Amino acid sequence: MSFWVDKHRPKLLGKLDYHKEQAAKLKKLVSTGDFPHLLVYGPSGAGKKTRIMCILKELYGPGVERLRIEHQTFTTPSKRKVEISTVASNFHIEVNPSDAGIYDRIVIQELIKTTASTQQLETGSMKDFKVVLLTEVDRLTKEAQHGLRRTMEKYTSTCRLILCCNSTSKVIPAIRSRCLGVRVAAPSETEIVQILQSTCKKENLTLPPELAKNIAVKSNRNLRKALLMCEACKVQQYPFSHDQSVPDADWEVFLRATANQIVQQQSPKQLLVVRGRLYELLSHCIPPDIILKGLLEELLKSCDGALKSEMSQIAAFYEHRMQQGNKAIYHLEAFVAKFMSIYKRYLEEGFEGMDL
Amino acid sequence: MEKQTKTTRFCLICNYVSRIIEPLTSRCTKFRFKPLPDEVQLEKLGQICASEQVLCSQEAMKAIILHTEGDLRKAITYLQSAQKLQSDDGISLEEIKEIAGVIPESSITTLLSTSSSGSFEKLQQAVKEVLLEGFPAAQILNQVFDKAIQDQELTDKQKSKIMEKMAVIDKRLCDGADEHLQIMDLFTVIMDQVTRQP
Repeated sequence: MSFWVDKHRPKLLGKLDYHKEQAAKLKKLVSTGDFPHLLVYGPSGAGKKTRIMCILKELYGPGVERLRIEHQTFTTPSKRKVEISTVASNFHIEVNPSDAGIYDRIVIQELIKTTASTQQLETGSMKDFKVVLLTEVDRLTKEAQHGLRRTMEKYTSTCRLILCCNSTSKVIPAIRSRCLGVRVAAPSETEIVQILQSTCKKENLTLPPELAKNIAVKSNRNLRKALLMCEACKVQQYPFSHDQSVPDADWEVFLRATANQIVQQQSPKQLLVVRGRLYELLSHCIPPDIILKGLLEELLKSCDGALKSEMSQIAAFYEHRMQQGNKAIYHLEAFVAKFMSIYKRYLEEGFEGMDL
Repeated sequence: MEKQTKTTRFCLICNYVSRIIEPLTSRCTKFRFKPLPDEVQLEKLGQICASEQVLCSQEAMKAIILHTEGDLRKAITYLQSAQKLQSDDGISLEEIKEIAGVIPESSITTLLSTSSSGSFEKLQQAVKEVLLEGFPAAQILNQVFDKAIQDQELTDKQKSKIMEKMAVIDKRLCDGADEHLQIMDLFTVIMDQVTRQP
């Protein structure tokens, strides 16, 4: 059994559920048999990968769906071996270069070189270029990106690149100017509701519109999340009732409780308790930036107008530091401590004002 | 470099001469390439359009040049991409904006007007919407900058406060900080500045 997310993923550009106009344009682009390098960007769960796979299928036919996983090893100049797994068909190769950490430049260059230097055997029946699909380009180091731009130009005749990332802010301008940018916006809530309905129909389930709406709101316009939530609801209770609660992830509940504790009491002792809880979250592999954002969102609910701006500025400051540093817990704790101090000061000032 | 002058000549290319160390620059003859003036770019694009038989209006070409900020390679890539995506009646302005990843004017105006309304919740919602549309934070920063600098209602002092924050945010974004938090940071500063009574 596979998840609904994978099972009901559209396979053709014509079958996509939303951004139909864009799909038509992409189809036109591909129909000429050739296309420029692509830079696909958008928030997660918006359908970037789906669109890329559709493009590939449009280009090469069903052959791209026969995938194989390969493990490749690359040797760095310092004789270190870097192992990386790639997903490939006869026509394309997909790799997440950020898996290689700081050695990503070597991985990218070697990979493109090996892919691009072998020509297709039957040039008559096939396209004479292969596609290299790089995911999470925004997490590449700057050196890798600079390496990429040379490689891109050198092998244009035998190889096309499709780059996939969440935001182009972290992609250097030199790469951006060599690619055709394709923006994939997150689906709107109504679009998500429609997709949930049609998926449930395919599964022979009936989904009450209220529940669909609830899931759509809760998913934050992330289609993948919405479908997973919907499936989770089904496991929890079927037939659906229209006021069924959508289950939250455990860590979300835990984070909310942590935020409550911070608001309740501001003391060094409480800080110690909160630290324990933050450690707990981190050790369950919840990314620190998500923890910080979640905390902020919950904490803001109990703040007043002016305090809200101040808090978001502080959160932005500590998040930046967290990205630069390498121990997230310090920065999370610093944020909590700062919040406590400001909040406490604010409360005390409020009381004094009342006395006068 | 000095040792090999008999057999080799070096040709160095860079974006900023200030980043090359003095001993190197003093050994070279310098040629400065200024950003291309608009007329030259327009002429080149027109030339390409003619030889590739592409339908492209003068307005569309001007839009390309405006959004590429003097980068001819980018302009030509845009032109080629637009040609591949175009509908039958030539290249339209909207297509160019989409390719260039420009955020619609209306979104930026909404963001700025919500921040001057002083409601934090509304602002939070508006920022979320724009980011979910997939627009990169750096682009938001760019366009807000252009808008803010031309704004007639802001005083110089307010502007300088906002610009200072923008510089900080830009640096943070380059370091890979979270986009949502940073953009929120920027707009709360703008909100503070706009709503505060002088």
